[in-house]
Amino acid sequence: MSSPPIWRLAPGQRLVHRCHDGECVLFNDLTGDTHLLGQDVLDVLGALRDMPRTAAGLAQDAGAALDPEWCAELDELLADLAALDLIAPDLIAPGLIEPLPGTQPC
Amino acid sequence: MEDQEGRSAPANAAQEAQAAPAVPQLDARGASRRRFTRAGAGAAGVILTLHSQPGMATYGNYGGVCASPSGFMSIKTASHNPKNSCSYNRSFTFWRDNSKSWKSRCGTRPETRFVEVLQPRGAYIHLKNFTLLQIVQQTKEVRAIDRSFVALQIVTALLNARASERAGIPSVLPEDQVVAIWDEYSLKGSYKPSGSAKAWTGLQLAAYLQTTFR
Amino acid sequence: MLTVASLGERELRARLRGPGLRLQTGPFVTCVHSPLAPLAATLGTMYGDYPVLEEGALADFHVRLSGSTGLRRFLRPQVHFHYDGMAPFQPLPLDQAFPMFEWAMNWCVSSQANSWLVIHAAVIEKDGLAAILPAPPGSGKSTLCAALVNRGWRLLSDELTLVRLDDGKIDPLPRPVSLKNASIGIIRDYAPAAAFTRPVADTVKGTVAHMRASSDSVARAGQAAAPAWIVFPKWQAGAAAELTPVPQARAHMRLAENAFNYSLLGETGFHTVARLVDEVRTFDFHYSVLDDAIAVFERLLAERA
Repeated sequence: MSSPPIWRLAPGQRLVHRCHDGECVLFNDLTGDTHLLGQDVLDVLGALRDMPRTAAGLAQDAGAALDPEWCAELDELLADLAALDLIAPDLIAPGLIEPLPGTQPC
Repeated sequence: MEDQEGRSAPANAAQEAQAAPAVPQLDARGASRRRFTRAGAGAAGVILTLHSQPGMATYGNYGGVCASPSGFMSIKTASHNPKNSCSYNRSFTFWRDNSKSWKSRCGTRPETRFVEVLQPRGAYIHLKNFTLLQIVQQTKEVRAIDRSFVALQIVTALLNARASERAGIPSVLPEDQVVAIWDEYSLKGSYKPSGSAKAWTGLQLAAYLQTTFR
Repeated sequence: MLTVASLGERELRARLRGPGLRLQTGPFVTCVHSPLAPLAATLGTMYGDYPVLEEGALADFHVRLSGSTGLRRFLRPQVHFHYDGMAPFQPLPLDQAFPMFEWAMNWCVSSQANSWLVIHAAVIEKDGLAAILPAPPGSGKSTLCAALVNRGWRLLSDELTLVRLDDGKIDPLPRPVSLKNASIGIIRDYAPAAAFTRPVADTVKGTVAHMRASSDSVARAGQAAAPAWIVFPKWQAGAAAELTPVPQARAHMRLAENAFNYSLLGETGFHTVARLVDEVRTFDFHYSVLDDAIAVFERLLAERA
């Protein structure tokens, strides 16, 4: 069974941004794009910058691990962020990292 | 979460590096109410991306400006200087090298199969299950089928048409025209542009399509 | 100081036909070459107050507007624009030579002037404070701009807002204000003393005319201004003049979309727009009656006093 990806901020992203009233503009260091994001998304990016983790780990931090709708939206968000080169999966062979205790797959 | 910017305007904007939030914790109390939704005023999620187009003007999802003259989109720019054009048109190498941005630029995934967008007729029947990305990558198998590069340039034209549509700017070749050109060529083995006495071969058609790109 | 008017008609035409007319507009010097006599006459009228530099002075841009050659001269003659040996536009009918000149001048700046963030917007100033009016097509920006500059506001530019990268101030680029179709009549009535070119019909934008920039705005082309407001105008029949605040993150995106070289400038572009958004108040603006619109701008100014 393969491990779910461990997400981290894409190397080179400094999260150059400004936030105002729940919305943020972010400069993408890798592509030069500018993104308009909800504040929540910037929180996720900040969290991944400080500690790479799986979707399940993020869900647990948010107290939403048992909320399948939230998890599904998070998965889609992470895919979108990866497509924009904001985050990247850690290239670690499955089995080398122990799952964090208490994490449930979303 | 507060804005991390200092309130006074910096002396040199270029030197300013905006730090990320210091303590990026997802708030467990509020998180159950959070949704990473796609759209809507004040909502969360990736709301909009303004794609970088260094060397030409900026395009966004709700209309853009081009580095052409006057009211910008009012004079047709000479075709031999397409870098000043208002169109989105990029060559196949751009789409090949930026596959991650297909979804947000054109709403099309790179894994989309050829048959999902264009009819694979005649010799092109073998292109049916190749992905659009494989076609712009020009894999060995694709090259063996697409000898005159028409499928390559047609797929490129299609991506450009969709990207222009999404950016709200005119396209040299809108999608329906791209499909019509492909249909004629794949049915007849040649393409006769209106007003032309002679039909074009595949190579000639591919060459023409290439002139509409930067 | 030498101006176009002080050259006199003969010398003006000689320079245009020969070594080039070195015309100063805002921070730019354009070397203009053209054998076309009607264009020379219009330049004399619309650019009379503008400084002219001597032959040999360094120019930022070199433009040439020439006529057709051979038989084409007699059958629907055209005007051609050349820049550094390239032809960026397709030729136009000869009677559109002055609009083409204006569009060519805009093109030079919007595609080359990368020491500024260049926004597709009008910008006007009063009491040292500038209002930027970004201009997607159909916004009515030029009409509003033309009205404001005839009611005490200084014209900085009607098309291209130059934002300095180092300190965010606006450098003026006062040039003739372009108006089209119904706006021409509206502004002629609104400003009977203003000087206009003869309207040119059947351009890609319809009928086009240009209003001369005031001598005062040209004289003060060296005076930068601090941005105070960004107002996205939208003329709407019957609409009361009303400002609606735009959230700052949204304003950032909309400004970036209206800037020609935002991407080119990369992170500097991002920070320049971010600083601008921090320093100004941003609004959507609906209006129909020009006097009501002017009153709204005066109120914005009064609030800052």
